[in-house]
Amino acid sequence: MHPYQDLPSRAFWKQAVAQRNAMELADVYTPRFEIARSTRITAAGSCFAQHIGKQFKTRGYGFIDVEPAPPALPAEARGKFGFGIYSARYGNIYSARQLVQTFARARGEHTPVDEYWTDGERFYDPYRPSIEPRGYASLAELRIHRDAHLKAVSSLLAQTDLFVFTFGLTEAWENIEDGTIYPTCPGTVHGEFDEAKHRFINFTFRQVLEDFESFIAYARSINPAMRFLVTVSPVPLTATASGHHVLPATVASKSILRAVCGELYDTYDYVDYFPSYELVSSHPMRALAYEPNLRSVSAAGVAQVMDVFFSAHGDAGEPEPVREADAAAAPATPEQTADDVVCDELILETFGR
Amino acid sequence: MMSSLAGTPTENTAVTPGAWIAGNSHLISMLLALENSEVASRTSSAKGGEEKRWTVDGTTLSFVRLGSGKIEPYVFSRVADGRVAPIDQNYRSQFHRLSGAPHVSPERLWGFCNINNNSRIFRKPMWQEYAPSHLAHPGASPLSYDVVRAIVERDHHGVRVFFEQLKQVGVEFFAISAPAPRRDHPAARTEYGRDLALYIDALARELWHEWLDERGIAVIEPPAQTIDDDGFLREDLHHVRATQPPDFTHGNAAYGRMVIAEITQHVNAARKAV
Repeated sequence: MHPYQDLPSRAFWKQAVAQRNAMELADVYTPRFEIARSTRITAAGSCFAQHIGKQFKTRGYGFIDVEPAPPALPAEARGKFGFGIYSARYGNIYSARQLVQTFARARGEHTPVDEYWTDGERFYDPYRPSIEPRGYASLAELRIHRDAHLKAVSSLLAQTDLFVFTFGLTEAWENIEDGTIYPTCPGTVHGEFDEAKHRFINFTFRQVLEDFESFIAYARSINPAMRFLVTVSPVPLTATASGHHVLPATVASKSILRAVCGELYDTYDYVDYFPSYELVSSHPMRALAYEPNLRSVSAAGVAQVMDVFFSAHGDAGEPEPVREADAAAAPATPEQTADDVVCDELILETFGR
Repeated sequence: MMSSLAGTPTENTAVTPGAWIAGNSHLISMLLALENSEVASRTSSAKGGEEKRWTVDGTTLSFVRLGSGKIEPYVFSRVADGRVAPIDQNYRSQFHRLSGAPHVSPERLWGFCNINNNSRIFRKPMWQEYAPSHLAHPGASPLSYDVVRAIVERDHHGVRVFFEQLKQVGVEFFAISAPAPRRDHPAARTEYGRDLALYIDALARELWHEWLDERGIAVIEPPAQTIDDDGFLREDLHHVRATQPPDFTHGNAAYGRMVIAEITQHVNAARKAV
């Protein structure tokens, strides 16, 4: 007798992985708690979180959007302005520190010293530099939009039952004076890099964990029954400023984030972890879920991952329209995949050429 | 530029230099002007149809209804066999009956009165919850210029496609704007509503001008004397409807007379240029 003798087949690599079609892995995810269509869901995070939010909406779940698009704005223009992607127009939130600071700003407890960027003609919000691609006409206009946005964000947690967060990066840029995290390195999308004002930070396991625990504490002070679903984005780093090769830098970054998720799961029974990262990026998949650039997740890959999630929650669901449209259009117009995913990182990629 | 509208009824078969004017309900002011003029009168087509044709200052103007303004944000026309025609069966039949052809005949000069029907935008209920940045107020989410512009350009979509199709098949045409917004429009009766209506109207006209200029398409705007100091259509130029529901968007015969004067001037100049 030994402890492995009575384990289910999913515990054994040979039966659970090696002998199965990678697209049909079974029992990869066992939900810790139920997510019903009546569950009020808020989503934030890095690029990949967009897919999760979209799926919740498409399938008729109670996805919260405190900054919905004006009805007359054409559907194809909404993503460009950050509408309908997350539960508010905060754009991509790559790190737990950025998440904490976003909500701290919303409740008036953190006011960054770096209020705006300008190129002399247009004004940009350093904390959502892509939300208005051409920026604002004046500082006054920027402030009107920023204040309205933060007010909307401040209302989010009180109406949230489940907070979904996708960890994206450990690498970030911060303001030296007050530690405010920028979603993009100043000077890449907008703004101007100044080494006297900006510095690189690569969050450690301990820092990421403490930041997210800080967020949990705040969120549950608003709603003590709030639950959390955490994931890790399978999208590799576009570029690393760590000094290392981008491949080991990516693996190091994702490993830290994955370890934090594991720690959160083990510590808090109201935190669930969904292994989208493993389902897309682990070697049994042979990179099948990626586009040829081995970075962007394909429409089919997203669909497969989300099917695993919803099937585990007992939701076979209707055929997912976004996935079908993407899959059909992908061979002829691959750029449509990018159209569906507004991603600050693509701009960084272009900049870095 | 005022005109005496010294129009004379024209036989349907006459071939006179002129233009075919097609569009939405804003044709009404021009038709009222012609029908109320001393000498212009409605003629009947040889087929007993409802053709409306007049000669004004030596220029023949024939009027055809193209479709309701509500279809204009959407693609309402298509190119088939090198000709542009309305997609909708009813509109196509009507267009055929009134113009004598199921498509926009490329042998004619056309004026299309189907731009700047801007109340369609500023009357939307969403403006209670959203406002352009500079008009933002408590309870309304601010929208940047670029977002408002995208909304306005979405409203232009169907007509832009139509004009592109006309250019594609070589139809000679010009555009005719709807009148300035009316102060009595229900959506413009509050201070915010007034400011919004004027802002949307000005933006829409600017965007149309920009778009049309890039393509070399002439546009006839409401004559300056039809607009009051605030930017609304002068009250004495409001079309008043005798029945319910009231009219809050169209100009009257006096307005139509001024627009026709602009049209005839443009058509004559265009013909001389040829």
